[in-house]
Amino acid sequence: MAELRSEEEQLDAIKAWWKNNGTSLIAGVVIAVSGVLGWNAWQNYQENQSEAASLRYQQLLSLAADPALDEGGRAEARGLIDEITDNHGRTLYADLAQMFEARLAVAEGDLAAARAALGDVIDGNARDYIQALARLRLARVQIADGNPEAALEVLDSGIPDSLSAQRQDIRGDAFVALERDDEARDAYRQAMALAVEHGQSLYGVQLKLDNLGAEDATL
Amino acid sequence: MLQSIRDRSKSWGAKIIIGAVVVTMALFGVDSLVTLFTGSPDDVAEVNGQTITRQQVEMNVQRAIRSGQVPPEQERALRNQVLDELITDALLDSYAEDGGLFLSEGQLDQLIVTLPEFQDQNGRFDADLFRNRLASAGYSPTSFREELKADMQRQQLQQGLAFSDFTLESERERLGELQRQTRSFRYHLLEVGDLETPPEASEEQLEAYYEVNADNYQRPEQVRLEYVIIDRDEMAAEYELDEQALRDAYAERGSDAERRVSHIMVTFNGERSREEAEARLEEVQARLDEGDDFAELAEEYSDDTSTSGAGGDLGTVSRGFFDDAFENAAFSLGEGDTSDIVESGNGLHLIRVTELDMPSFEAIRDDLQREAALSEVTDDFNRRVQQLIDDSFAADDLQSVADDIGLELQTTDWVSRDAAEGVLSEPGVMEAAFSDDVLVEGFNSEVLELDDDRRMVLRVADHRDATLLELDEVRERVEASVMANLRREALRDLAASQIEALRDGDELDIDWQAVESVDRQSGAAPQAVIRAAFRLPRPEDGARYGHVVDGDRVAIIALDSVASGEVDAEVEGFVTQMAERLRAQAAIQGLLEYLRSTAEIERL
Repeated sequence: MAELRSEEEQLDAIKAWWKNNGTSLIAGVVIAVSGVLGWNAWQNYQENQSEAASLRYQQLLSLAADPALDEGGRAEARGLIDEITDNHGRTLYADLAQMFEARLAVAEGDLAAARAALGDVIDGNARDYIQALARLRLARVQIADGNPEAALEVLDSGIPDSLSAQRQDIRGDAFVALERDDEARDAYRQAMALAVEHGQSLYGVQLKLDNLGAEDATL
Repeated sequence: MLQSIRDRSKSWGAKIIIGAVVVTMALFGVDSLVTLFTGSPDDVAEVNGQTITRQQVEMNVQRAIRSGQVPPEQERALRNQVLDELITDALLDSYAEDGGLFLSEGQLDQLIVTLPEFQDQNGRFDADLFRNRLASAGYSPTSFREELKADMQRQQLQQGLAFSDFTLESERERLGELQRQTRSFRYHLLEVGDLETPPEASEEQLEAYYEVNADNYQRPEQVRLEYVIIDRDEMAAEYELDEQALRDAYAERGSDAERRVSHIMVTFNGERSREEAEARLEEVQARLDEGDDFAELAEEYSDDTSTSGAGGDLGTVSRGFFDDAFENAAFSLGEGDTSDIVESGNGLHLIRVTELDMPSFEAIRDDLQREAALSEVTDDFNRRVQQLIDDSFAADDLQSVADDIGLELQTTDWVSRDAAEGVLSEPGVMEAAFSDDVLVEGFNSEVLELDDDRRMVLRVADHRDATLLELDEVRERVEASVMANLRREALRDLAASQIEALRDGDELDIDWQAVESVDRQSGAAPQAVIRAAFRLPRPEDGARYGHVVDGDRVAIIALDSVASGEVDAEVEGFVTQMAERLRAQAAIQGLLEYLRSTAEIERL
């Protein structure tokens, strides 16, 4: 078809085609280009945000790696935690930063504050697994704070199977605090069995169990 | 169809879409659209929609082998392990990415610059070192950065889980106290001799025990195998090489060995012409023939003033140092030989090899023999392996195959899957023997590649199912177990009755061993006794009694007192650290297991 036409005719055909379709083609190109540019700009913005979160978090980690953090260090860490939770909420950085808050409180001996921080994680919108870890830690704080009943309640739900060994271990501690030795023994035994099942190690469960006096050793 | 596209493409919307597709292709290439819609057959697993490819597995396997951590023969086991690791990493990666964990290019740059692996002696980053280290580990800079990024993101996650944990004062005290607790107790070991009437096993008891523990007296499924092996090493060992071939091989190897070289150099184009230079060296050659010393002649004739004083010595050289002509001459000489006149860019030379870094012919004769024979028999080996592949596939037996190729047919006694020895225990052999094709269908196995030098084909000659052995066949074993149980029971009864008497306040003539204030780690009594002593409830009024089985003896234990032990800051610190580390480990492991149970993992 095309080869039958002269060059001039072809040119005319192209011009006519362009007249009909040119605008929409340009529109398509413009939309695509602006789409790509917009996407890149958005990516850029996202990356800058993510980088800022990452840098703050990395700083928090290096502060936290120091076991004997002084008051200045703690204040600095608190500032970072606030920045991360305020500016980068909903990220894992924010979830984890909140967990550091409890650690700072424990370091200051302020169990009430630790409880509050962990409670915030559990009631907030942190990821499920982080919430489960917060439950385990909250229960430990509650036992230390003289409230083992509350600890048992916290451990009652929201903890996945993969943390069940830790859960039973802490339940055992709560029962010991309540002087319910039989239940404590039972919880410790389950903790050890679950640890084996999940290929994990627990420290001190055997010690705690032994200290309760194994009832069958007295035959 | 084209027409319909054309028709529809007249609409505004379609035109815009086509425009967009054109631009996308122009900017990102056709690949971006193709890879969007097709999976690759090389995928081995899919984790939450993210694929793991065979190349990834292979690359990591090779990296592990190259780093020397894993012997090559464990490659197959390694492959599974590597895949597991990759799946684990993929799980953590997608959790980290979804959670917005991120490392920018700038952060990676900063990190790389601080890694000691890439720093020179002055502690400064060295770009060449960086490239070399990566190349030797099989990374390109891009792939290394990607891996480093993923690694750092995982680390951020794991450290967050670990470092945010804490130890409470009360926990520290409690664990410390339990750990340093000490106990004082007495114990006495009862032995078979202490029994008034040694127990005897009745036939009924043997039968009962045999029945209850039937699992222990099973003979597993077994096969008798026939097999043939083609062994290149063996073929090489039988191959006779003539002396000359060995000499040639020696010379060949010698031509690459490092050597110490001296030379006498005469330059031309300056004060003398090429002919004059040549004549000068011919004069040297003549004097050498007369027995003059090379070193002295070098001093007298050589224009290379940097070496002429030292007998022309150039030191030890390897290939790649000199002009081609010079090198060829130097590396074709034996020790003590002198070359003809050689021309290099600097002038004319006579070259002598003064030392050759090469063991003597006799010292490496066996080595040479083996190496040369191996390469001589390789063609034959390959031909026979090919014949084995063809024949064993077609044949209904193995004897004819063995005869045809000239192999010896080996036969085995009964073997079970787990109890194979020797060549049968090599990876893949018993798996092949118990595969459906071989065991059930009765075919010859495929040709198994035991290693580079050995190929095997096997066949099941006979098969028997797992079965329970008759009591008479295992009577001795059953009797031994029953007797051990009976003795232990009798000793426990004795211990129990003695403890009963002690509790009632009877005075018994027991030869107590006293153990004073020991901790759990003490070696003052058998381990089982110490453990048991620490598991008894605290004594209230009078001693607390218990007993424990220790091998074929039974111990009576009288726990007298429990004390808190000395406060030891070091022990307490250790205990706390240990507990923290294990908790951190559990938090990370727990996350992995949680992710595994909630993720979609598909092994393809």
